[in-house]
Amino acid sequence: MTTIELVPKPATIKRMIDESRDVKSYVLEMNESLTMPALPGQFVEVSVQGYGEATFAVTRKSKGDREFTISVKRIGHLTKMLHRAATGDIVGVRGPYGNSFPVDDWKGKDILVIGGGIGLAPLRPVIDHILLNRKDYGSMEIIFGARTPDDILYKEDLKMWESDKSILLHKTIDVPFEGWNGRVGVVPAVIRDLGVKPDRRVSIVCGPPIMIKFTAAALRELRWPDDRIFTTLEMKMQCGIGQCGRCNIGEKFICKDGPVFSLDQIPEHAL
Amino acid sequence: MKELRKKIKELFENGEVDAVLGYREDPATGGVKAAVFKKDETLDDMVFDGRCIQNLVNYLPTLVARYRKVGVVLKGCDGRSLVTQLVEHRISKSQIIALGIGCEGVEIDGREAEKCGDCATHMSPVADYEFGEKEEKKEPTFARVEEIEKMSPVERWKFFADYFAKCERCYACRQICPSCYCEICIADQQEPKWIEPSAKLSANTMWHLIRAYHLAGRCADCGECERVCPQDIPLRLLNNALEKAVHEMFGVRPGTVPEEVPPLVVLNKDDPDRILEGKNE
Amino acid sequence: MNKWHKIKKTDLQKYVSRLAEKWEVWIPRLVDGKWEFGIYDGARDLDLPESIIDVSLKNLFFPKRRAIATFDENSKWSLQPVSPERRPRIILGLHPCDAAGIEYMDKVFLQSEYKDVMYKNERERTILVGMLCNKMGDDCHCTDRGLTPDSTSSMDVAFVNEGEWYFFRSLTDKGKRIMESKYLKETDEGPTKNEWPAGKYSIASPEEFMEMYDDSIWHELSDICLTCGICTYACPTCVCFLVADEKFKGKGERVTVWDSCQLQSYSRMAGGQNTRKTPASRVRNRTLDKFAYSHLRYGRISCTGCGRCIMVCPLKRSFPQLGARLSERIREKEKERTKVPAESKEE
Repeated sequence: MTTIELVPKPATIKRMIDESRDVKSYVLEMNESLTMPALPGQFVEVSVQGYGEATFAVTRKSKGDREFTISVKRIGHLTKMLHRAATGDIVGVRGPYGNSFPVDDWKGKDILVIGGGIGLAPLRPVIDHILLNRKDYGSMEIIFGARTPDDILYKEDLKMWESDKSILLHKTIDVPFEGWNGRVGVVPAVIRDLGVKPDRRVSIVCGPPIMIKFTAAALRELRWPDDRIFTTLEMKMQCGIGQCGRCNIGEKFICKDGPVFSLDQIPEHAL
Repeated sequence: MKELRKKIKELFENGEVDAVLGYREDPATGGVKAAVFKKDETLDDMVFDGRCIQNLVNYLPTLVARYRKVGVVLKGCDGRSLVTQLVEHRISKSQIIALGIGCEGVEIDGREAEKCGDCATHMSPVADYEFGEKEEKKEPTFARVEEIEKMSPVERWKFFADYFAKCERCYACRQICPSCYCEICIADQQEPKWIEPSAKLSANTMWHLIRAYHLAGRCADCGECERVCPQDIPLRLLNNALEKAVHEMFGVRPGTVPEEVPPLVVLNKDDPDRILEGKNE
Repeated sequence: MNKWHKIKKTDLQKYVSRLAEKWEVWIPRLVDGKWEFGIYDGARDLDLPESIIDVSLKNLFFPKRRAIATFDENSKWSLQPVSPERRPRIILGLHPCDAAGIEYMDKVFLQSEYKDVMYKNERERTILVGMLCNKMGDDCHCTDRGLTPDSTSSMDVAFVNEGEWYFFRSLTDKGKRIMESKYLKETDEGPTKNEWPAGKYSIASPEEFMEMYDDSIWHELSDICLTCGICTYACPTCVCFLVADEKFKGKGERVTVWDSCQLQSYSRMAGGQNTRKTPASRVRNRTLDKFAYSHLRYGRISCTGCGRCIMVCPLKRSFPQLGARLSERIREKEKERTKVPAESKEE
């Protein structure tokens, strides 16, 4: 029996984590003996029966290839249905799709991770990978921006990264907020403040489109070459396999040729 | 035509318009096409004749965003269309110079368009300048609708279902309609998903009925939806049926009286209310 | 090269009737004034149009609405893939541009990492019996797109209409399966070869088109376009789709449905962002996709020159004319550029 690629396989919601006011994470386990061997940066298509499907970055892989995590921001009709789901519910999954962050090429290099809001989700597997293979990589600096303290997600991880001596973490929120004593300012401003130098580093950036655009501009000002700025683009992907047509940037399909690109691989208008 | 060209030239020279929307001879097809004429451009290939069936009003919102003041060539039916756009505040009259042309009917494939047979508005109800003959206004007949109303509900359903089944959901009807300008069309809404995306009878019926209802009391019967439909669905019939209902209940024909607010967006104490009066059959 | 076989025109219907005993045979027929493919039932005399068939074959391989799985609405998870149709079929009377359209769909659905097995199944169960064109229709421009009215690429059997005869020739093993018939007689003669004039809508190269992304001409080219979706539905190589779940009385289907890059909803994301909000950006996407992106992806531009987009356009706009206008602009720019000294090339 040949399989229809567009028909998803069942997975069970093992655990749900409230990340922020509108983001929940779901630990999914593939049913039967299916696996989901996602590499850092790859994504999956998740369906709720009767409501269609949407694209989510795999944001963590648990031990073995059967369990993985996605983070879901409530924004459209499918994500609303997912937010209503309960532990034990079955959802459909296809994937993993797309290319991945070239973490092997980055061995020996310093890594700068720049995440804005839910944009941290596809970057977390890179951080996980580096922490797991710590000696293969140089220093790691993380800049994470959220709109308000209520939008900060992955609080457990942030705590862990904060206490990890091998990581330099900067948390920032966009505008002043009562009770927040940390850094204030949008991510591109923080980058300029810190004056982050390219040196031996590669940077990976993900966030809302506008944040990616201005972060790229800030890094370029600091003389970062385009081939050392990586991002993952989430335009409206649907099929995930380069056929439905809508996620193209020129002749490239984000879902197939991406979603990970270095800035020298994509035209300026894609940002 | 000569007068029209002369007037347009004058308007350009006096700086009263920055662009004029009209019809241009299209040598490639032997037809005409909508065109934007600008100052210092030739008006020699500007035409107005039976081939100029397209309602140009739909292009105005884009043009007024680009130009300070836009002239537009209007047939009677297009003028009604313009009125609907003005009363809905989609366009401001201050940005428009309306060039009304007495229309003697337009053609589809060389034959007089059906809408022209019922036409009761040969001159635009709103016109800064009028050209050509101005015929007397007639009362509308709605003959085509009455024909359909004579059918039994079963026959009527069969009549429409055969057409709706053919719809490809290309949305040409929506795209050409001046009054279809929702930021997100109900057919595209995901939450809730009112209309399924696939081209099948149930979803197609939903689409056409919802569109007709949304146009009730607003549609000025330019007939463009029916003309552009690649499957030749008689969409005007749906709009006419509602136009007739609105006319009977409120005595209003959308677009015929400048500044008249669409009857379904205001509440008057004299409004008929068949449901409350228990007269709804 | 397999030998030509000839069949008397008056025998064609008998031959097709015999084929229809064993196969599902699709032939062109006139419905409401338009030529489209339908299943042969012998009810009407066979009549084969000499040039373009109004409705493309796309729907027979990649249907407008295609259920890929079914489910029971009352369960939380019961999604089951549909089982494919296996009955073998013959499509007879298609033209070279139709075959070219299928060739392009093959590239999208089969020559990719993830094969579309439903499409593959439709292809495998089909024998394509193409009829070479005797004339070019008003809107035909295949000769501008690297094809001719007698191209046989992707056909299993090709036949030529000449005088009192049809000349048949099988081109693949699949095609041989329908050549065994008492009506088809092997012959050493063959049909005469036609000369075809070059067309009227020649276009620039894909690389040149790519240079035009930021040009202001897109506003001119999209000025009166309604951005409805009909050209994309009529196009034999426009295969964009959306995936949706549709429910009716407790039963649900997951379907793929043709989508169109000309519609505003196409690129709208959850949350409302839209990467192609303006008509100009959508017209640009389709134009470049036809003439450049397709070439960069699959090695062939995806316009087959069938001219259906002109035939269906509500405003009778000509897409190939648009391509030609763009090409003209490219050449104008090229001229301007060659005038400019090299050091001021920066843009």
